[in-house]
Amino acid sequence: MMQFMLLFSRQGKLRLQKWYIAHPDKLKKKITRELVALVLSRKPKMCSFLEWKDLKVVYKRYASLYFCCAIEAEDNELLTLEVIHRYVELLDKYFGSVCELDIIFNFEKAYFMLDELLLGGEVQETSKKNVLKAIAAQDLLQEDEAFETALKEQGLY
Amino acid sequence: MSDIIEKTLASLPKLFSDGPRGSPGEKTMPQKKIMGRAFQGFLCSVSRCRSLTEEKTYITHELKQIQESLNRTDVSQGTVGELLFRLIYCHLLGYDVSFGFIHTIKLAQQGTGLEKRMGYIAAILLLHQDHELSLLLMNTIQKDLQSTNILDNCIALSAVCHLVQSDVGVISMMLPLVQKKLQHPRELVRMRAACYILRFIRLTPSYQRHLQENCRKLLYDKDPGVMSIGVKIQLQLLKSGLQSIETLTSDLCSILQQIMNRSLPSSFEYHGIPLPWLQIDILRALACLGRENKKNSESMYPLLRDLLDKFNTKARMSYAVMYECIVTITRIVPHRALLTEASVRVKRFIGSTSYVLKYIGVKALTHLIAVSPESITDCQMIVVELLEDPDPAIQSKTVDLLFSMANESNVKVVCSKLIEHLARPRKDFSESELIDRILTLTEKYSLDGVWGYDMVLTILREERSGLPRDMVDRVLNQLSQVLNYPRDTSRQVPEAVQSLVKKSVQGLFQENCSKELVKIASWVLSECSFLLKNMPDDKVMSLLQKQFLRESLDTLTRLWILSCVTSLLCGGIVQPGVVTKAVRDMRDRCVSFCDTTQDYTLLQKLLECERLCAQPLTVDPQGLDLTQFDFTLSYLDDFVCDSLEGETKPYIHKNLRMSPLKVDPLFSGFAENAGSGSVASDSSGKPTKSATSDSKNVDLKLEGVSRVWGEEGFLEPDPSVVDSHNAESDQKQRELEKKQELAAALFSGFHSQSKSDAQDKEWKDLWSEDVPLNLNSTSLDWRALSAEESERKGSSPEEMDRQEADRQDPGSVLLDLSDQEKSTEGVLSQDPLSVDDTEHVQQGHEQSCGESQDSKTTTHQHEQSVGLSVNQEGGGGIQGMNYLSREPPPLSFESFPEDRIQDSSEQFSGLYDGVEEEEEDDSESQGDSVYSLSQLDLDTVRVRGEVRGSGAVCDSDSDGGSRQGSELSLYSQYQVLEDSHDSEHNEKVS
Repeated sequence: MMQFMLLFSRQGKLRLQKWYIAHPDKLKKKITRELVALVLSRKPKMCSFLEWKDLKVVYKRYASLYFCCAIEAEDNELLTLEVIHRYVELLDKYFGSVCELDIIFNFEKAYFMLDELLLGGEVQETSKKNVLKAIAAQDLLQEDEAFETALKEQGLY
Repeated sequence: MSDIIEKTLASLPKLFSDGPRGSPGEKTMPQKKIMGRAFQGFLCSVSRCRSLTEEKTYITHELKQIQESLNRTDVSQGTVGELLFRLIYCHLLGYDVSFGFIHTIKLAQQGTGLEKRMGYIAAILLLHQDHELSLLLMNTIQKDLQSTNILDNCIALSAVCHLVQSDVGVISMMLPLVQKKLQHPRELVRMRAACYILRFIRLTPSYQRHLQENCRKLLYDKDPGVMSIGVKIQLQLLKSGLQSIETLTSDLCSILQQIMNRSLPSSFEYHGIPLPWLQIDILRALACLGRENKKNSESMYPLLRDLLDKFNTKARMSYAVMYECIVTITRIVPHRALLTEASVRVKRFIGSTSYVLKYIGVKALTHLIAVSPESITDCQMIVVELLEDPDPAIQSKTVDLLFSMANESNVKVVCSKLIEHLARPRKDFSESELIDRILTLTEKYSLDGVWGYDMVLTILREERSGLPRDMVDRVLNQLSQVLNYPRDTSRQVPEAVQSLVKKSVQGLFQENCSKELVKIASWVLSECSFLLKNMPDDKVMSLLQKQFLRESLDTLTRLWILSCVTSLLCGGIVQPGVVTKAVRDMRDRCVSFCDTTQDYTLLQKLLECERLCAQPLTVDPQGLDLTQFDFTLSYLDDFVCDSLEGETKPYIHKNLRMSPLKVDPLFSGFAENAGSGSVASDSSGKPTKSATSDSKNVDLKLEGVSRVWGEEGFLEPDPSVVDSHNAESDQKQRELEKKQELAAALFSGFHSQSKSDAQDKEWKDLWSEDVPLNLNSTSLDWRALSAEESERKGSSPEEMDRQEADRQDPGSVLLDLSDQEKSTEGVLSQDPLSVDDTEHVQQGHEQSCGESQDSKTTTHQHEQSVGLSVNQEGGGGIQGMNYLSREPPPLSFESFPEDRIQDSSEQFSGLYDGVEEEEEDDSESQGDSVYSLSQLDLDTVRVRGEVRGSGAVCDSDSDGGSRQGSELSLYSQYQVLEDSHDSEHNEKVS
């Protein structure tokens, strides 16, 4: 089971965080700080896995963003690497070609997307199509609302 | 309000152009933003902040405003949603936003459609299951679960997964609703409901039985996604040890079979691998089912075989499945042929250029070695190289591997390697783990305790923070077994005990050893005090005195030293006069660094010692009856009466005292008793002729090791041949030899029973896309080198004979030392413990360090040559740096969309076409023979292999590929018993 997922930039700025276990905020901050420093200090020619306390940390860098997951000791690291990759693929498909700014300005979408992929820390075996369909359904919902509000504002509804 | 109008106006033209229900696929550049410009403006101004303080002032100001507007009643739900997302962003930056929690719940409750969703998402992100406010959301969740809207159902189920706590009341409220959702017509809802069931089972294992029927149905769901969660649930049930369904094995096998036949919808394929996540979960479940269950295991064998054969080297996901498959094979009832196959795959992992794969390979090998130790012989050189890998993560995994492959014959080398790793800079938690492992190994394999003690002394040579808490106890426990030999006067003291004492004395000579060492050494000295009889009194005392006066020691350690002094005194080893002088001195000087007016225990013990010196006890240990104890201390009655008649106050119990007494009168009288007790237990009081000048090294020297244990060691090439090469290759050769020596020592316990086809083509590094193929050339060159070596060996068989004659008995360096000990006479007569000796020890240590540095340089050379090609990758990084300043370019992910991957795979397939066909042939023929072989008795295979293996060295050179040749020559010294089909294959080719 995945414990948490962090997205941070090369400067160490946190861009996204998702926790699947309950920790107090203070501890979360501490973990984040230590982990970001640890991952940023790794050289590019090292492997993407780390053992940190009793967790295993899997990270991968895409352009200026680091995707970093913590998993339990018996989990498969390679698989986690693929989960990250899959998430990036989904983001990419959705945003056209995704960049760090997309994630900063649409972080709510990134959260939606992550929820479709991982539920309670478990990967859901779904096709990419299904995930995108679910997101599209929400977008429709949103546009319906926007449409209604627009009409309301104009006094037509 | 204004921002809503802004938002609406912005969205109007688009809405009218493609209609409210325009299909999402038609949109090109997505402008699907929930938030208006104001939200973006907020993000921009936050990121524009130059310093942390600026950001802080801005955000605190902003948070105040948000709080105000959230508390107003006239804000629309859309605005609340936006404000909540600002809060999430502030939370991400690490600010306290707890005032907004209640608003997330409100929005989830009151909102509809999108607003509801936003409220839920905010609640999920900001709250957690143990948060008290999450209880307020339960009612809303319940309502939404019963709603007919699928999206509401979905989001409510997500919230259930995140927020429902393990409280029985809440669960019993939720569970029926969720269970009902398991029958929902839409798979999206079913899957989420199943996810909750999984989480619920994790939280409260006691409820599992009630759900078993439901869980079983999930396995047969028509949607693969739901089915995969069903498998996960079964896996969880298996892990928690619950009785599983009888037909589970066959069910899972049939699912796996379906996946492999690709009979499930192709939309579930991931990079050409069908349902990889499900595959891995099934494999894990099978591993649980097949453990120690022959019937289940047998039904899996063919399936696992198929899976191994299906291995697709081009898809990265395939490696993950393969790793899991290998682990499963090692967990179930072992099947020889499958294990052999698995070891071939592991070799590919470990020999890959990708660090990721190497890491996984080492892990797989660690699993594999537990069931089939011989599989390591194929990859020993790689393992030796990985030990020196620059990546600490890989290093630590390799250390794990070393630990698991330790056996009687190589444990000393393994331990010394572990200690070498201890010297490297690392995080402290792994240090204590490493020390713990070394201790475990010494406990397991060090029967005479001597080299184990060596290891302990080496670890403790300096102060360490990360020592296991029970370390001293464990060591003493182990040592007391050694010291517990039958003590009668006629027999000699065992050599092991002698050398223990000697080493303890040496250890105490170190100025800055750790306090644990002082404790252990002084314990050993007091236990075996009689062995110190021939050492000059003042020498012994000055040694202890010096340690005692070290400022870094704590009181407890000093007490250990003092009790050692006491037992030396009572055993009659040292003259009371000498001790009196030393103890007085200690007492005078210890005032300077510790406050004796506070530290009663230390002072008391010192006084005791002095008292003992004044009235030396002569207790005959033989005549003392240890079965009788005088707990009332009746022999002190006279003394107490006398004192009470005088001025002395009676003893008041500690709890009844008003003010602390300076020295406890009870304990000061107790001293004599304690002293005599230790005499009785410790010394047999007989002089012994024993221990010797000195051992040359406490540390293990690696270079000597292979020569001593070289039963299956590497053959050294003829020096004259080496000379003919140029200097560079000469150096490389030497480094290689060193590594080989190490390998020989490390792997001495393993005999390769079977060796499979040497198809070790380099695998392309899928995890770092930009590294071109020419990487492989680097690893080729030392292979070529060893190929030359093998030619040389092949050409001079008489040399091999000579080498064989040179082989010595597999003894240890320490045994050599004990020989010396026998020859020298007189215990410590010529003051063996001079400073030179300790220097010598250090030299030995340095030598071994130097060796490891040498081997490091080789890896660096490899790196340099690799570095050339990697620089291209760096280019991408530089581009990435510009991203922030201007319009965002895509993530580097774009550089490998599917079409590109296909391109490269074509390229690769072109390169590997030939190799792969051959491989397939091999594996097929292997497959046939493997199954027939498995029926045969293994011994007959071994014999056949031996006969054929003898010719293999020469054969291989002709049949092709310097690589194969080198492989074979490496293994030939390990008495490689080849699989019969392998040599058949060789014959066919030649």
